[in-house]
Amino acid sequence: MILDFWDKISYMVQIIMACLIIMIPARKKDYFILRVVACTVVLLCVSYLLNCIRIDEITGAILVAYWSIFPVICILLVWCCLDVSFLEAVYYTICACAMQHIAYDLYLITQMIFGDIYIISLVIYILTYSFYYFFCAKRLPGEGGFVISRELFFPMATIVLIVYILSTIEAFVISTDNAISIQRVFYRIVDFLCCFYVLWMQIIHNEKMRLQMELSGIDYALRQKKDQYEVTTETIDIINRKCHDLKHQIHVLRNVTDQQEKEAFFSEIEDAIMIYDTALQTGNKALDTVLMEKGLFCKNHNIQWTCMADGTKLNFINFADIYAMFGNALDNAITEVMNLEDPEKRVLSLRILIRNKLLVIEIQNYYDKKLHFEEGLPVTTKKNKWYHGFGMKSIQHTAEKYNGTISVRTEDAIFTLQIIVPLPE
Amino acid sequence: MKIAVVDDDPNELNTLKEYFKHLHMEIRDEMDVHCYASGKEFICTYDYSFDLICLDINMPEMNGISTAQYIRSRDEEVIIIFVTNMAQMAIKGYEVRALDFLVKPVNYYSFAMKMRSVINIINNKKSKSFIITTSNGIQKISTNELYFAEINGHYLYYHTSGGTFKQKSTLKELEGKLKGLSFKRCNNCYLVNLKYVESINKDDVKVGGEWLKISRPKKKEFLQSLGNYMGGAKL
Repeated sequence: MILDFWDKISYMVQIIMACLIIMIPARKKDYFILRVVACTVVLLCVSYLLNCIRIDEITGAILVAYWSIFPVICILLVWCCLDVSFLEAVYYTICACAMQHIAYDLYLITQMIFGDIYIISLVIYILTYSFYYFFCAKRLPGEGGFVISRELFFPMATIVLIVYILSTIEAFVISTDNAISIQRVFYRIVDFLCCFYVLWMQIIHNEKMRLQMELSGIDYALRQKKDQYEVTTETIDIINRKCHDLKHQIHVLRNVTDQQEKEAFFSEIEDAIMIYDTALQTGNKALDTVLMEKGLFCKNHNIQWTCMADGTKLNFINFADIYAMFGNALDNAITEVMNLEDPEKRVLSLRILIRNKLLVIEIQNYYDKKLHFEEGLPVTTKKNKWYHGFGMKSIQHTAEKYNGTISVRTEDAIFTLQIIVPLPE
Repeated sequence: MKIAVVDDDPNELNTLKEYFKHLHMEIRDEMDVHCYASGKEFICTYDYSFDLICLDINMPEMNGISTAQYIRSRDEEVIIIFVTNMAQMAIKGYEVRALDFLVKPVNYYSFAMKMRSVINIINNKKSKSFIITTSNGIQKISTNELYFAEINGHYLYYHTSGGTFKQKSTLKELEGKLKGLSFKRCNNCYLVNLKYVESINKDDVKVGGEWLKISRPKKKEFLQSLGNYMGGAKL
């Protein structure tokens, strides 16, 4: 009786266990335990009922469909218990199913070689599942969430699906007699390796993504240093030139007696000194530096820029992050307006809005080229697509580091980038 | 939308007036522009009815900053934008919570860009009143007083500055009713008035003195809506 009951739910239990293990490090919903218990009870009942259906007569596609009900309802379990999107739930479940399949393959192989001994199968499951926890579950998504790349999700899903279909056909259609043959053992080994490599790929991909992020960061920092050097040199040049002009003008002024001419000289001098009008005191040193630099550039390239920025609340963001975030955002905007055909449209607006405990950094400019978006971020205009894209990604990355996000909007030929960061309590 | 332009230079007044006319052709929002030749003249007739004030900084007698200080001491809400030829002066605008500034000579595109935000900010402040039936009878609720709505079972709880009211309804229905206003969901149970968001941390948002959970899939969108609300984009 008990054995019969166990038979009817054992498959479900295996998948649920695998799901539970992968859920351990993930972000859970409220009342997690309660949800898990409730879902498990429901799923076990469903499994029991499903197993009461006589499946001896059904074959082919219906059989495959019948067996796939189990993992599909597990998606709902994951979705119900974790604070994740549906796609992420599917991803978690696929990983769990792949793992269950590995354990199942190992179990079948030993069964074919040593016969059906309960204790051995139990040990195999425990070993595989704990290996799975340390090798896979722990190293996959954590608290910070997991970015599922579409190009990896599709092959992974299809491979697991094919393995699944073939395995069902193999077990229930081809080898119904449980005969032991070398081909079956081989088949199971191949099956096992497929699932194993799928999981392995996920780990490797994850690691690769992390390293790439780091590398891009380093590369970008290097590039920025170089850029900054050039800008600083240019800035010094501008100041030197202006000083030279000033000296010259003052010298001439000494000998001018005509009042009108004098007036003209004065306004010229005033204009020369105006370059210091771009020097702002926002209350944040890093912000002052980056604004001074970009402001000078704008002034010398006839970009009219306005900057309404109170930097006093920015002190919780570290120097380098402020520099990178504002530098990137302004660089993008400057490149964008330099490409505009109508020079009148070369205006750029930077605002820092603060309301209660919320900080919004907003940069607006006109654009006239068609923009393309990838994952919500624009990726064209600059020749080096990757570089530009990374600029945006880097801003997003920094914003997320401070618990915020960015938003990009295009409306009425105006491009708006917002960096939204909650102020710490 | 009622707008005041204050500048001692008649040419500047004319330019801005023309710009508003031009902008009106583009966006069709009602724009009622009033011109004043000095800060003094303006504050003498100031009657709290304006949505936007464009202030010249450099004016004789009473300059733009002190005019703004005077206005702020009486009106917290009105949007102030400075018009100036000294960008550096504009930083002082922060003290009077000016939204932005325009540099003279005013460039139309710069003007239009900023005004579009201003108009959206004003439109986003719009409120709406509606009637609900509670077990104690009929209750009028204004979105201006509504901190957030919470669904619990079959009941919708309206948390307002005047207390909490309960009605049999769904969040979806309310969401439809408040479309275009400053409301956004932070998870499946709460519809939050962005106007009253006080603070946000990793997983929660503080509204009307209460901490509510933000669900992770909704967090990004919620923050973006807040940005839109503050910066002036169509909600």
